[in-house]
Amino acid sequence: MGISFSSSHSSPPSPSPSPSCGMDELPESCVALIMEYLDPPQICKLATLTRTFRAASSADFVWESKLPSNYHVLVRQIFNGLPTDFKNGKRGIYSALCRTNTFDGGTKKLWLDKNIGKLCMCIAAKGLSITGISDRRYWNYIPTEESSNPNKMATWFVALRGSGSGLVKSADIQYRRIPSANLVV
Amino acid sequence: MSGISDTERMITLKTVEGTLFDVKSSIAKDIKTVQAFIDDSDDDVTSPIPLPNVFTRELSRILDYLNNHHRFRSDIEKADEEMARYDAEFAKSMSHEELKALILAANYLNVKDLLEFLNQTVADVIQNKSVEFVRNFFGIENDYTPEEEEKLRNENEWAFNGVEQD
Repeated sequence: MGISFSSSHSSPPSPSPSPSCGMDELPESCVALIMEYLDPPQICKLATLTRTFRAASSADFVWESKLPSNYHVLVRQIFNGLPTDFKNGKRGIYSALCRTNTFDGGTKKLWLDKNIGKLCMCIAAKGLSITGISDRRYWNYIPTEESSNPNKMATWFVALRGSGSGLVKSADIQYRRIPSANLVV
Repeated sequence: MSGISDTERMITLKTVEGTLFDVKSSIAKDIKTVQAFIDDSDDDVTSPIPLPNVFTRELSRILDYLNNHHRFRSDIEKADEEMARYDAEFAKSMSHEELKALILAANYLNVKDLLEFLNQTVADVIQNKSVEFVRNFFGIENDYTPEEEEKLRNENEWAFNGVEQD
């Protein structure tokens, strides 16, 4: 081993040995490094502990690690680069993306799962891109009870290629629910 | 990769209490604060390097950790498994207070791998715990006024919607 204890005679004995109580608070930078490993709701909860914790919870690098890697694409697409609380840095971007954001003329909704920062998308049938969509000889919109309600949209986590390209990386796509017979071919 | 030899240069570190530790220069490389000191001195370090913020208990632990990790890395086959077992024991052997003291020391000395490991360890302990638990864990007092607390709660409301409060 590379360590050897040498008995020291060179300096006066220190009055206090290693502290066992009443030690200094962890500095903001240390707290922020710990927060990097926590989930967003927990980070926000800890912000209420002390001023130091609050400052640490606002560190951009903490939230950078929670945002999807392509968040700047989302920001451009949804907010035209200017959501209201961007003054709060990356934390503001995260909270803004956690809200349900509507875009593309109301045909798509997008939000982050606030616990894990994963992207969720909800696309109305009219927001889907269909090969030959302009050729109405081959297909038509048939209103159904579900589709007639503009708020109730089909939740698709597939078929995003083209319409949502750049927003979702294919590896992130998870299928959740495809309502039956909304598309009659 | 490791050029450890019997003739390797030794660096002497001095803690707050004045305890001296002889450290191989290959180990000292992982202690960035010490390495920066060596670099600034054009490699001409003859007297012990004083570490005014580091206590003997913490330095001893840090060197133990670094020495063991260097040893594990020299045996590629068993490295991951042994390192994981060692790390788990290392984390378990400390009280919360000792863990915090070690984070402060590792932060000051800028020992990146160890600091990451310790931060992860603390995060595992406090994940999903109540504010009160975390306050006790860190031994900290609430320094907000009630008005500020209220404001903070509003500020963070988005994160708590649909989440159980403490």
